[in-house]
Amino acid sequence: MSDARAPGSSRSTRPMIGIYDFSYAPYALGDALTWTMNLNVIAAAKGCDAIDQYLVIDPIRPGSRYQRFVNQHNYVSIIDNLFPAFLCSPLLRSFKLIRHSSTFNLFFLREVARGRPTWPSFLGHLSRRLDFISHRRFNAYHRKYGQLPWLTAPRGYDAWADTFRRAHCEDRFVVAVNVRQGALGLTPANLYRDSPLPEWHAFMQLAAARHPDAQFLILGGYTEWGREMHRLPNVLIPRAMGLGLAHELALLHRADLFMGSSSGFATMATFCNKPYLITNIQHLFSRYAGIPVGARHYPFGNENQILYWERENRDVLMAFFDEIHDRVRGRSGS
Amino acid sequence: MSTQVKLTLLRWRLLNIADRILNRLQFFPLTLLFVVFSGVGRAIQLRLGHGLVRVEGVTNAGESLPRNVMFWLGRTLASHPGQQFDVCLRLPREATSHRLHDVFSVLLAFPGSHSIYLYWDSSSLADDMPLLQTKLDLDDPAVLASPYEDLGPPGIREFEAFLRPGRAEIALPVAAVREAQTLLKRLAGGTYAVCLNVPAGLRPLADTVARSRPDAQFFDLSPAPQRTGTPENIHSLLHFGLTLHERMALVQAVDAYVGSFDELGCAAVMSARKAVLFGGGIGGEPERIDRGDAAVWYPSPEDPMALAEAVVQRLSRRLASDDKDWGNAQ
Repeated sequence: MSDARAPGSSRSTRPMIGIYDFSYAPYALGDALTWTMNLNVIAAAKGCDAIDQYLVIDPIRPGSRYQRFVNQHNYVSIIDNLFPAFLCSPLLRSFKLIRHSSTFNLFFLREVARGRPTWPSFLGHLSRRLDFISHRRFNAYHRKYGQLPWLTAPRGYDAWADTFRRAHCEDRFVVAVNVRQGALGLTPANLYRDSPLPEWHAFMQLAAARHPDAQFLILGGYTEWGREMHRLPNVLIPRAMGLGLAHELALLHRADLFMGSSSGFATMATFCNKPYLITNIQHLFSRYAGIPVGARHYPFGNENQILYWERENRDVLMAFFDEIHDRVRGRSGS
Repeated sequence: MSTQVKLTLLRWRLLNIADRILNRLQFFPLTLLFVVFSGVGRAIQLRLGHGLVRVEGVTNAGESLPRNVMFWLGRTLASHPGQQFDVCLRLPREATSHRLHDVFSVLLAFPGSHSIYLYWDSSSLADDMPLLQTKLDLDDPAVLASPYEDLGPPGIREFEAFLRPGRAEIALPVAAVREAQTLLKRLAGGTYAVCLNVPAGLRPLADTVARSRPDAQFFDLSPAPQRTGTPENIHSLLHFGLTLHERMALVQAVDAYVGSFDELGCAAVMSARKAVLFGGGIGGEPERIDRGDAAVWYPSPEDPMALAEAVVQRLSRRLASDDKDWGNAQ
C-alpha cells in the first residue's frame, strides 16, 4: 500500500473530510476517482492519516442540473454502480452515504467546528463549487515532493485480484483495456468522445500474433464492448464472467499496462501509477491538466505513461503497445 | 391525540417545510443559513427522539456477508415495521472480502435503510454515534454497554425466523426489475421459469430436476460455467453480466427458486417465491425445515440424488398449485 502522507509529515490525529454532494457533483467514474485523488493529495499535504468520506444524496432530487436524467427512480442503480470508485483511497477510514441533508449538515457543522480539513472547503461547499476535473493540486504536489499519494485497488479487492491473475493470466503480460462507447451505454452522452471499436478489435487481433504473451482484459459496462471481442483468444471480459466495477478497478490496479480512451478507467490508471496509453483526449482538457495539447506525458507521468490526443487507429495502438511492452517486459526480465 | 403530541408533530412539520424551502435556494449565503438551520434542526430531532440507527460489527467478512446482512436487516425491519433507520457497519480494518460491493447493494435494496455508514475504525464509529443516536438511546445503559453485536453466521433460530411469513420486503431499483422481467419474457415467454443457484456439489440434483420438468425453463445463476451434458432447458446466466440487484430481481420474477440459502435465497424468501433452499447450516439443525408450500430448507444436504426426487415433487406441486393444469400452460 502506498504511503499517502507527505514526505516528512508527522502522524496526524486529524482525519481529512471528503464531501461529495450529488446536488452539484456528477455521477461519473472519472470524476469520482479524481475527487478521491484530490482527497489523497490534500490529506497528504495537511499531514492527515485518515479520510472520512461523506456522499450526500437528496432522494427527491438526486442529481445536479447537469444530470437531469438522474431521478428518484434510477439514482439507486447509478450510485450502486459507482460505489467501488469511492473505495480506492488507502486512507479510507469511513464511508457514509447520507440521504438526509439535515443529518449531513449536523456532521458538517461538527467537522468545521473541530477545524478538520474538508474538501471541498467550508466556503466551497456552501458555494456549491467542486473542482472535480483539474490536476492543479496534483501538479503542485508533485512539483513540491516529486511523488504523489496514489490510489489503490478498492478496499478488500486487492487479494482477490491477485488470485484472479494467478488463475486466469498466469505470467502473461496483462493489459487492461477500456474503449469508451458512450453510444452503447445506458445513458448516452458526449458521443464525440467515443473511440473506434473496430480499430481496437483489429489491434488485439494483431497483438495475438505479434505478442502471444499479452492477455487483454476488456473493462467497461456490459453493454459497451463489442460481441466479436468474445472470439479473440487473448481476451477476457470480466463483466461477462459475472464480475463488477470493483473487480475491474482491482484488476486494472494489478495489470501491467492500461490502454484506453480518455474516460473513467483511464483516470484510474492515471492515479494508480500504471503504465498507460490514453487516447482520444479532449483538447479542452489540456487546461485542466496543466499541459499543452499534444503533450506526451502528464507532469507527474513517466516514459511509460503516454498521452495521445488524437483519435487512435490500429497502427498507432500497435506502435505504442510495442514500445511500452518492450520497455515494461524488458524491465521485469520476462 | 394529546396536545403535547400535536405540538411535537406541528414542530416537526414546520421544521421539515422550512428545511425543504431552504434546500431549494441553493446559493450562498442562503446555503449557510440552510446548513445551520437544518443542522440545528437535526440536533433537536435527535433530542426529541426522532431517528433510529442500527449498528453491527463484522469480524469475519467472508463470502456469506451479504446474506448475513440481509438476515440482520430483515430482523431489524420486522421489529420496527414501516420505520426508516440508519445503518452502520463496522468492518475489519484489513478487509479481505471482495463482496463489499454486494453488501452495499443489499443495504440499498432495503427500503427501511435510509443512510448507510461503513467504518473500518471503531473510534470513528464511536465518534459519530452521538450524531446518529437519539437522546433516548444515548441515555440507555443497555445500549452503551453493548454498542453493537457481531454480524456472524445466523443460527438455527435466525433461519427459522427468517422463513416465517410476515418478514420484511426488499425494494429493488426499477431498472433492475425491468431488466429481469424483460429477460424472462424473451427467454421463457409464458412457460414456467425456475431460478437455479445450487452449490457445486448439488449440480446433479439440478440436472435431474430440469430433466424431469422439460416443460419448464431453468435459469442458472450459479457462478460455475455450464458443463457439457447439461439439460437443454437449463440456461446459464453467468455470462449475462447481471448485477446483484438484477439477479435478485430475476429471483423475484420467476415462479420458483431452487438453490443456496445465500442472498439470492433470501430474496426468494422475502418476495414469497416458492423456494427450495440448501446449505448454510452450521451443524445441529434438523434434516430439513418445511414451511409448507412457501419454502423448504435443507441445512446440510448430502446426497443430491436422494434429494432430487423430493425436490421435483415439491416443485411440481407448488407450480401446479399456481396452475392446476400444468400441461395447459404450454
